[in-house]
Amino acid sequence: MTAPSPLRRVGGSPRRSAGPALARTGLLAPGIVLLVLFAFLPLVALVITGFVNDRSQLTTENFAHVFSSGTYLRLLGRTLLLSFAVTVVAIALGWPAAWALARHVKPARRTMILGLVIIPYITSQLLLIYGFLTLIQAGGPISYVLTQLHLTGPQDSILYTPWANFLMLVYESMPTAVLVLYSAAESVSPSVLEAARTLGARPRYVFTHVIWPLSAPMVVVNFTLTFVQTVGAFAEPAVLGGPDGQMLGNTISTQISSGANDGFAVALSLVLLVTSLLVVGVVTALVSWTKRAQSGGPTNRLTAPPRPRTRARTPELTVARES
Amino acid sequence: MRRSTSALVTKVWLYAVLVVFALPVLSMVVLSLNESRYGTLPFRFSLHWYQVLRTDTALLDALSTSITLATEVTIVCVVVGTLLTFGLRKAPIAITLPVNGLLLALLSVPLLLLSAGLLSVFDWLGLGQSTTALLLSSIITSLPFVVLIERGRLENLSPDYAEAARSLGAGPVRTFLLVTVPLMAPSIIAGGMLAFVICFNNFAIQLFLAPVGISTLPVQIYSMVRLGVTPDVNALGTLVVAGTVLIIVVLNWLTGNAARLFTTTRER
Repeated sequence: MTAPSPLRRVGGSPRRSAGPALARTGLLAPGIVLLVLFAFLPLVALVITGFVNDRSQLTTENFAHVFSSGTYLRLLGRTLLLSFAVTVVAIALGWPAAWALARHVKPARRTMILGLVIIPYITSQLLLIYGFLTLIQAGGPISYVLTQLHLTGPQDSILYTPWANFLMLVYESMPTAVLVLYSAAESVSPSVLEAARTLGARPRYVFTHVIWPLSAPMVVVNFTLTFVQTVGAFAEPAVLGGPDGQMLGNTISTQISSGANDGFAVALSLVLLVTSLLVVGVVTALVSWTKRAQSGGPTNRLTAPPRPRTRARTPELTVARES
Repeated sequence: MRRSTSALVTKVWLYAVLVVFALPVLSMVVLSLNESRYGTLPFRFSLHWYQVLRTDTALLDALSTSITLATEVTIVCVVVGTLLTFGLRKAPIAITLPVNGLLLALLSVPLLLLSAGLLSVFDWLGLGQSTTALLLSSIITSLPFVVLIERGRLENLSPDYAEAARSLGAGPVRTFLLVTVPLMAPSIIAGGMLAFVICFNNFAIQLFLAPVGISTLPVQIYSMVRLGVTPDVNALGTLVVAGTVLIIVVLNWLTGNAARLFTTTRER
């Protein structure tokens, strides 16, 4: 850091870019070095490793291996399908809850409820998986209650079945759904709904022609986040899924841990990444198509949502006054 | 009439969802106070598993490894992230575009895949699976959260305060340290706490990059769950969740609404 030059002090405004360029380099350097070495290089390394065989030759044989094997393609298909189902179910279950939170809960209570939603969101995934395991295992709380009600036998449990894995993944996706769709619900202005109702729109029509077009972008955000995360899941199926509940992430993680065939593991990863981005792209296109189809012509501009409130505004003011 | 019915139904649904959210955690809490060795009911109160936990060195070592790692990562992330946030503010687009792209990529590439790439890079660097590799990888995955949160605050910060300080004769360094940093403090602390949480929970990175013989808490639980668990994990889980609740309360107090941190972070 250099001493302030008289010129800059007189000018006062830090907006001119002549002086601070050097200082800025100093500010940016550590972050950029880290990002280049450990974000950019790993992504490059992924691509390179996928196209190199164990004799260090450039090749596509890793990908040929993936696509020639029915096992891996079936596993890929199942992983994508499962992740799609998990994401859609989480959105469908989370939306009404998020809607109620934004509309029908007193603001004072909202902060507390959001806190309760965040607990599973920031609790270690492994602890949640473990807690879920204790919950559903034979003799555990759920099994105990069901046995007492004579609905199941004492040894019945969905643990180590694909259903356990599915439910766990839905559980983990739900907080994101509630948080993201809560923002979506907040951005639908109550007066717009009131107007639609006053003009005689039935609830279904209000949903398809007002709420859906206004919420669609956040639904896409939610879909993208959850789907991409779920596609890469491997701990949940490994712990809960049993032999029939495995996902492609398990194959990839086993390959990486063994270190035996990096190129193949990376090729699998890249195929998974690209196909899941394709799914995201298709869903995004479909959603924006329904949005356009439903919301019709330019008259609907009137229903454009107010910009979502930015989070920091009020705290910033109070802080500024304090200091 | 119809509207109030639908309001009631969705509200009941909301509370049902909250109950389901709590179930795995409640299960851990209840079973940690239950006598049974196999996590089975009926319930008989006992503090036995908390006593077992006090002597379970594998689990406690893993916890202290996790806390140490997360603390180191938090310190580095807060310093580097704050510098980066301020550096990016008026940087030309030739810098901001690739940097933001990388930050976004870190948030959107599944960690399983990122750790495969990181492992290759550390192999090239001759570090392989090591504490250095673990530390650097944890830093890089927590960094974007710090930058996003601090940037949100910085964008909303009026430049008037800094300009007032400058026109009253403070140099840029003094202005930065005595005016801008205090104004930014809540977001810096919130970003740091988030970095801590993200790092603490970062299972994939820890599994693939930690050296043999060093287990973080998630990795330790993972290996225990697959080999047969002792219920003292319930006791530890209960304590960790209690810590989590504490963090949320502090975040709420600092930012007014902790949930905003997570929603706006993920929207971008």
